[in-house]
Amino acid sequence: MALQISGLGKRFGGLEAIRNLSLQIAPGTIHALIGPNGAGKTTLISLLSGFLAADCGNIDFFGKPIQHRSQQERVGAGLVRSFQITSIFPSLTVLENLQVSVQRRHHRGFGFLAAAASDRRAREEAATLADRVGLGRHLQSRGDALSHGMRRRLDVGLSLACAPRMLLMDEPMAGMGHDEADEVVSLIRSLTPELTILLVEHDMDAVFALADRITVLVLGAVLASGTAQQIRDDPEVRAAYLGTEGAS
Amino acid sequence: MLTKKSQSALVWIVLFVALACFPWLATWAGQDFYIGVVIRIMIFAIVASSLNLILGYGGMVSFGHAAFFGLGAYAASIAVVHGANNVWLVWTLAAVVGGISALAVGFVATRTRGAYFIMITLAMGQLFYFLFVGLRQYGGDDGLRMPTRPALGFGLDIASESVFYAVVLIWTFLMHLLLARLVRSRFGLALEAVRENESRMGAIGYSTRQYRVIAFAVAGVMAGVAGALLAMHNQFVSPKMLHWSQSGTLMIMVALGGMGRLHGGFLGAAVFLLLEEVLSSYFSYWHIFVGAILLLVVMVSPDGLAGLGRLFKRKAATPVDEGHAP
Amino acid sequence: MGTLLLEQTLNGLQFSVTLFLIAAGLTLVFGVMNFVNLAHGSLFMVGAYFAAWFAGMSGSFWIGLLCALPATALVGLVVEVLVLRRLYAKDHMVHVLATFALILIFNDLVRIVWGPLPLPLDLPSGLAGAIQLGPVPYSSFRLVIMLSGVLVGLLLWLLVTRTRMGMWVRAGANNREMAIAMGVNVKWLYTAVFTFGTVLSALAGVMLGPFVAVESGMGDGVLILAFVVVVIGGIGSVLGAAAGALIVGVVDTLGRTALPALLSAALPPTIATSLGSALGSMMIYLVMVVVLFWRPSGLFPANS
Repeated sequence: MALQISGLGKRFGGLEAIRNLSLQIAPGTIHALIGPNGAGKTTLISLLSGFLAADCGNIDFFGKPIQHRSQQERVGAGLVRSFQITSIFPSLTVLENLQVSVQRRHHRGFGFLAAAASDRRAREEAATLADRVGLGRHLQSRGDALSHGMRRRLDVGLSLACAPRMLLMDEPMAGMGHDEADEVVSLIRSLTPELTILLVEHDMDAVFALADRITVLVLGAVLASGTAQQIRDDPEVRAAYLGTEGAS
Repeated sequence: MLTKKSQSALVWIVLFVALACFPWLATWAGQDFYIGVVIRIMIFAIVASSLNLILGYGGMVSFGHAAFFGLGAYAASIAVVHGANNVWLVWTLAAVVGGISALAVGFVATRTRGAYFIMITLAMGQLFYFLFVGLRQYGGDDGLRMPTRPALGFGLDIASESVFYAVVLIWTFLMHLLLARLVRSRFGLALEAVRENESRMGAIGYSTRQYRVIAFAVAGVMAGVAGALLAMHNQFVSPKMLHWSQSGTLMIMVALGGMGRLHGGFLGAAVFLLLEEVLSSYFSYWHIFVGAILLLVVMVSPDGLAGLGRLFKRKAATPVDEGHAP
Repeated sequence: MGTLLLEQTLNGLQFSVTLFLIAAGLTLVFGVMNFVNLAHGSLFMVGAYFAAWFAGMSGSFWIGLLCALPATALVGLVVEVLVLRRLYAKDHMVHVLATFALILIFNDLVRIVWGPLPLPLDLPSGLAGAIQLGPVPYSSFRLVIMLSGVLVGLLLWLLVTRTRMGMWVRAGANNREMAIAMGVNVKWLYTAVFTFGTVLSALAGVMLGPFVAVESGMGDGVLILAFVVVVIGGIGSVLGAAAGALIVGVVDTLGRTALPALLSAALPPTIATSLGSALGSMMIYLVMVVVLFWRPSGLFPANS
């Protein structure tokens, strides 16, 4: 298992945001997490990334327990989170965006006098990553000159620059128009099977297009978990969540 | 077509040659006075560039930078008053004083963000200002004279204006080379990324605070040396050199010249001081013009004068077209 | 020594009140618009100049005061609409540069309009005397300043906590998007907040005018102290401005007067005076650094 969660719990004062949650994600798959607002999806992502500490439960990442590890350590182990709001370096070029993320892994020191332009290994890896996310022809474009969809792809690229084994993606389709969303969906699909992905999303088209398995979260607990077809057919899920959305 | 970097290098070589020839031209035209003006411009080019590192590249609005400038000047003057007669020693002292004080201020200030950061740098600058106002044995409010310029050695007489000019010219170019090397380095790239998006850099694994504090310290070293040079030029230093309004002037220079652009400090210092020189000879109230120009520049071109070129280019450019995912 | 201490403490309190008036407007502009306004001290100066001008023409301090407030409010309004509105969305660096430019412009503008020499502003004849406060005769006018400052403070507190407008201001300070969602006309709210702050600052200028020289640059020193007040008290909070003003006013006044006196017990008089005076001036910045180290967002920040 890439990720094995058992008995996870988190309280905020009187509110039990996550209740006795257990989940398994197989390596190389895309696992979608859906549910109504306030179900605890973002809280779960925060618990997995290390931004929040769980009250109880275990999280095993590729067999190793990580529930007590810091955010930096989890990134180092290969568990990387991307954010709802695209977070890039606007006035830097696409190449520079990726290069600065890559160079962290290549070098230990500050590199005061080492010219960035001469860092061939980092530059090459950055260019490769740019190709990976479909920005290979825009290496010299500034981040703030990119369209919304391209920025999202750059954001994914920055996450990939950390050499992750698993990505936690929090609403990557947010704010995307139809065509842009298609591009992001293709990109995400292309990331597997090398990467494992846990995807929080509201865009049902994207979810059904991408997910190998879906887990439905309601009020901090798992309501149902299974394949896309199983979830679509599950009457409880329809009632709680999909029914009002009218998914066919 | 030359690369941008080669273009830049060419401009600097031409500039170096022009500045090197300038004293002879000035003397020949009977305008010796302007040699002193150009020396001042070069010294302020160094300190403005050092602020550009923090402000432009680092994105930190430090309102106390003049303190390091003044500390370097006082370190030099006090050393000479106490008998130091070796300019290399004096420069080293000024650099160390500037660097260590900037390290301390940077360390404290980077605990805060946004407006609080601005205020704490301003406050710490004022602390240094009042320190020198209060030190009566070093002149206090009246300032301190530097009796002689410390010796250069090599058989050169640093009291001579042409020798001093050459010294300042060489320092200006060395500092520019240092800045260029630094901003084009991995450190420089990371520093700019921290400016753009600190939380992302933290998420990637960078210790962002370290980068900011180090930038502060380097800028402090540069400002300290520039301060020593100004003290040697005027053979005088006063607490006004550390006042927050002087920090404001330095910020204006960087804003005019172009924040985060390599020649921003140099261009800004030159434009500001020349404006001051020209305007003050025609108008008693020339600050109003400087204010108006600055306001205009800030509202029209946030990248300063150096950014004006890019502003025109951007308007003519076509928008980036969509790439396609694999 | 006791009477001197009492008098200096009273002066410190009076200074606190003046600082509060200036800082209140500054902190609201900071909190509601997230705008760093260095030109706030310039409006303080313009207020003093208008008062001196109108008082000089009419022979009455009170006419000077009554005319100066709307006149300065108008100036503030013009500045806000023409310049500041375009800058709210930009980052602090732009605010600092633009408002620093305004300081330069205003400092020369007042000299162009009213000449380079300081303008006299006399105490109102009715309040030129002193009232006996226990052992100390204290200037009636200073007492009036303190009283009016406290009244304004109460009024401000009532406005901010009890009125709808005040609710919008607090909402704006905490969450701009929410304020817009609530249907608040943000643009005019900002203008109103700025103008109100201007009036307070002008009032401080008019009241301080008789004690300091009404001259170009008079707002600069006060501006810095006002910022220290805002930062210590916490950005966006009127309560913070009051707390900060109290601390800064008293520490600064006592520091600058008491320290030289204390030091002269141990050091030769000339050194004691200058060192003491310098240390006294440094005190308030030291306090600010310490407060920020302990509470990086000030004592009572609006957005906690």
